[in-house]
Amino acid sequence: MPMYSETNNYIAVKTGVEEIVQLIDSLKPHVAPVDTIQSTDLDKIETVFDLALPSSYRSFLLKYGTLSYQSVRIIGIGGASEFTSLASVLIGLRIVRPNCPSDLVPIEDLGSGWLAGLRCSTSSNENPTTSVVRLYLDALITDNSFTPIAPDFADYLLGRLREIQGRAKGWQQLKKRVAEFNKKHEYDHAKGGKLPRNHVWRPYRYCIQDVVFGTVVVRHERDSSALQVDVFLPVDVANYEPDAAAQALTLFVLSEAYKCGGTMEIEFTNNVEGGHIPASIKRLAFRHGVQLSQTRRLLPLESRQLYAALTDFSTEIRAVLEQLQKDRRLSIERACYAIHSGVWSQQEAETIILASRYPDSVLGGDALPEQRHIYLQDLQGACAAILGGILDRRLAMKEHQDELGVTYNLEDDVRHIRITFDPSTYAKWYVSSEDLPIPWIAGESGGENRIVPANTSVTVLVRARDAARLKVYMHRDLLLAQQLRLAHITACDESPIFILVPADFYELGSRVEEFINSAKSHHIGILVCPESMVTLTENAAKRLNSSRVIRDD
Amino acid sequence: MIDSFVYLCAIPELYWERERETQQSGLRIAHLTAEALGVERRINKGINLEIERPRYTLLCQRLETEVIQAGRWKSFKNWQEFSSLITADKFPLVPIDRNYIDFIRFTVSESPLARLGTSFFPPNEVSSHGKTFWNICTQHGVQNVSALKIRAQFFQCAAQNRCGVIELQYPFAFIDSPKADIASQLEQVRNQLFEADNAREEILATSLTLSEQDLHEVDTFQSDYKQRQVQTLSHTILQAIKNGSGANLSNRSNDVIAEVLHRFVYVQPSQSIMPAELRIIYADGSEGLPFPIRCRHQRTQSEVNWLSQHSPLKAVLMSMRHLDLDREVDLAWFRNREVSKSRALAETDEYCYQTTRELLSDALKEGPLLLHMYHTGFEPAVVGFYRAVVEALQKHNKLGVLPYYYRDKKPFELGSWWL
Repeated sequence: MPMYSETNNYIAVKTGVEEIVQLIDSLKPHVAPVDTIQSTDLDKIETVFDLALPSSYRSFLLKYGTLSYQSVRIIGIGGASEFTSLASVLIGLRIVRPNCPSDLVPIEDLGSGWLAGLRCSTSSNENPTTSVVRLYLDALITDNSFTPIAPDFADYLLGRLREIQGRAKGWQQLKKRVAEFNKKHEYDHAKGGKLPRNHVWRPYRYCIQDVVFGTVVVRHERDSSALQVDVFLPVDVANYEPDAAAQALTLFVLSEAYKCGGTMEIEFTNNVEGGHIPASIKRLAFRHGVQLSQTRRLLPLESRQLYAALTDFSTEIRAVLEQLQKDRRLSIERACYAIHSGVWSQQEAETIILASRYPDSVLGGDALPEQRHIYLQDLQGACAAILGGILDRRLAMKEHQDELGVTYNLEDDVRHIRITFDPSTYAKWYVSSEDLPIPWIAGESGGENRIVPANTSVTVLVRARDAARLKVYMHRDLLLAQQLRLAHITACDESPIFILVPADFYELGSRVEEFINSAKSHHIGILVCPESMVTLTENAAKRLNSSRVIRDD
Repeated sequence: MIDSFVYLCAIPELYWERERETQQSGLRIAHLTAEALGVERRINKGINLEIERPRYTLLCQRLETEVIQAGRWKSFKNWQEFSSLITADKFPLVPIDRNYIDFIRFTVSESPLARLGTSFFPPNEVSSHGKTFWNICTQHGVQNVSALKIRAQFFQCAAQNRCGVIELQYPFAFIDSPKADIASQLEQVRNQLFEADNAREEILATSLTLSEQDLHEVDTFQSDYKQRQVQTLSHTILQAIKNGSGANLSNRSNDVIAEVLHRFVYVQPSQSIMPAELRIIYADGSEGLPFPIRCRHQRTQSEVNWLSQHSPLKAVLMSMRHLDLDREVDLAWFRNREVSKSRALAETDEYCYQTTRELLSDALKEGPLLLHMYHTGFEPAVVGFYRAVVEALQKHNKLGVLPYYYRDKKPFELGSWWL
């Protein structure tokens, strides 16, 4: 029976040890109780390692010692392998990673350098409750390295076991739904076919390049206006953080729930982890502080909170969005949907939110073209965001060459760049941990990019102007760039600064050379994006139009 | 933050006259203006919006670029210089700050004829627009805001000198912010309006007390399955009204949608009419225009009888859907090709609504209209059609629509009268 926790304000229903015992016992003969472990054995470990093991973990150790079931390997006492021996792992951890906090009790090696553990207090708390955290051992361990993923050991283990148990059923169900779908719709990516209505079961797979990260099967339930999930199968892929796939699938499910016009309640059928909210979603919710009150459904408010949390807005952006929501101008979910439905990238949306006087009007597509001034104001904001977004993607993109010298790039093979934005000057700062090739520099010969060394900040003023307006305002932009450059020069570092303009720059005729030389004389570069204002405007108008019709709650 | 400011540019009358427009005059705005005004008229009528709106944007862009490239604009220090600039064949130019656009945002729909928010005003409109603009400023108590005062005065000078006005917007101005920020002042007004709206909605909500029992019974459908669908959709709509959220009308039978909407539009003769609006959401996440509800009393049999005397106009809702009906009907209301375009469902709804408005308006000029509508199953078309029907019924009492619902291998089933 689930117990209600008085001290844990994360989850209303606390998982009881009894529930774990019931589940583990059902796994016989894979897992069996052990008789040889005594309480004094645990006391010894606590004394030697100066730890206070939480009660649920102690109960588990006393009854089972350790657990090994399919891919779940719980570190404990006893068992055949030293890699699941608590004492061995603790010793190994303290030798190999001496800066790892001494109160960390590893409970599962998640593979690829990831570890799940308990942060146990060293005080003599009689009944300590500790949350489960995840960390990456192959990186430098700091206070920020620990990601909370479960309120306690019992909840964590129950989730892991249900997750594993649910896989076989999940795959079976997926095959069934795919077969039904193909038979009814005969849809083929190459030839097309009939697309299904929202109220029928629809299978989706989420892929990056040729790797499948996960699959879901969903439908809109007309009577309750909820989104039903029949299959939820994320896969942890090497080189990605655990639950990365689950996050992608969860965002898809939340976006579908918003799109389908329902209440945003999400219901999981009995085919998903025995009719429970998937453990991976619970881990994500816990990580982001979203309280889930039900066992088999996400209530509308919980879905909305999770949607906002997973979209990962900065504190500054979140504050703006919350104010807009409070003023009934734009709901946070609508901003999330605008991003996840592909209308705006996250960076573009954030630029709009910070830089536009009326971000709700831009993201909501409120202005109509016949309201020229308002529409133009929104259009200009959108064009500037898109121009900045084109540069963001270009800088992040890694280019490779094959043996024939043909350049290509791979999906999701990107540089990690930290981008900051100043709305008062509409300037962006880019810092990468790798060398950064800067493209499109006007007046540079050879056609090669200038390479900026790693960890050097690059400043870019974004100016989406057509030729007529560039002619009038370029000198002011050069002046501002000069001021910014002078403000950011340090004794040993001169960060490069650029002005980003559209291809209309080359329509300025004789002024082109003049502007380039003037910029160069002040150590400023001009980046000329291959897109013109005409295409930027068309693109912006299309996005404003798409935004206009999106539901607004 | 992007801070836009606007340049007002006065252009003498002769440049607005098409007959005088030549390459030599150096400014070709006459034909652009005429075209843009034509497009505006068509947009206001709801004609071909997908094509006209981008066209309008392009025309305004070209108009503004013409003025910038002409280069004959000149700023001035006092109003007395205005006329001398005109005499010297220069275009007087003055900048105004963002308060103007902020003001427009709040008032754009207040006076459609005044063309608030547009960026060009031919000479014959300058005087009337200037006066209307100033009246609106005064009504809102913002006549002391510098940007608005300057604009009103500029228009007055332009009218006196027989000029038209073109307004040019510049983003990334990075100028000093205006001393008084009109936006917060107007925000207060907006919040007051919101509170008034909220209070009104609350009163409506409590007085409406919509429940299943309030809705008149649908005795149209013979099938129990259909009746159950009606109950389910009615319940969904009731919940949507209660929560202020939208009702998802996708994935419902077209006959069920029509009959359920009928339940919500018409009230019993003994009940009061309390007009309200139902938000409509579609399965692709788009939101249509609100649907008016609780706005008509159920009609009497004698009214039905009177209208039934007239010869009906028989129409199928969409062409190319039930080809066997072609010999039975007089016309197809919508062309399948126009309705089935790849676009958001809410946009299709809007197209169907606008088209129906026009068709009904034209038809009712000829006299009473009794329309037998043979339904097809495309939800936005049904919703858009009946929205326009309800709107027309509010203005005309000589319109009646009788739906006919398709039944496989059986005669069409009659729906409820829309009178």
